[in-house]
Amino acid sequence: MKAVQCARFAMVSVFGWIVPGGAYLLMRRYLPFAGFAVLVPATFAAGLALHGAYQWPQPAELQGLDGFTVLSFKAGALAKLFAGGPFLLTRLFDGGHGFLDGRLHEYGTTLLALAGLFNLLAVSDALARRQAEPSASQGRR
Amino acid sequence: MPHLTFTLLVAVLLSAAMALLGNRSLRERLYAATYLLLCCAATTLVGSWVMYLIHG
Repeated sequence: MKAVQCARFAMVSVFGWIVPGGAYLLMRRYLPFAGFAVLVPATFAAGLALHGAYQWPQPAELQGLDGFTVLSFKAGALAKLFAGGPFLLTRLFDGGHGFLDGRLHEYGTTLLALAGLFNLLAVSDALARRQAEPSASQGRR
Repeated sequence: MPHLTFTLLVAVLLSAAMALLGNRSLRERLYAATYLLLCCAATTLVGSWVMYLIHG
């Protein structure tokens, strides 16, 4: 029983990560799904249009920086990864700008990180609502 | 892109995302989005005045 719940939790999390707002879709919450399905890709696209960079920082690019700065740069790169589908599609079809380009075009990079955080927020909210509603976690799609 | 336009864009996106969270009706989501947008605008206004007073 616990394994089934864990599998459902993982499935909702992964689907919600890949499809922005997808966790709501599995719970048949169409309004939040539509909202996040538009909001996350739009934010990500705006970030790309403003030349934001989503590449993971290379060790050579972080040379000479203190530990906290390195950690915050890596956290920023991780936040962009949370955007899921848009992030994967962009990596697949676009070479993208390097990490240092992203430092130059901060507006775009900020929007890319924001898109990732929106998606993370959507997944965590959907999981919290799923836990709060017993009927949703027991059989409702 | 000017700072003000970018701030406004982020405020709109942020308020829309925050309004979509939680178990609310459509009307409550609209109210929450408007409230958050106004809060962001007020915070930006106060912050910019504070910076102006500090830096001149």
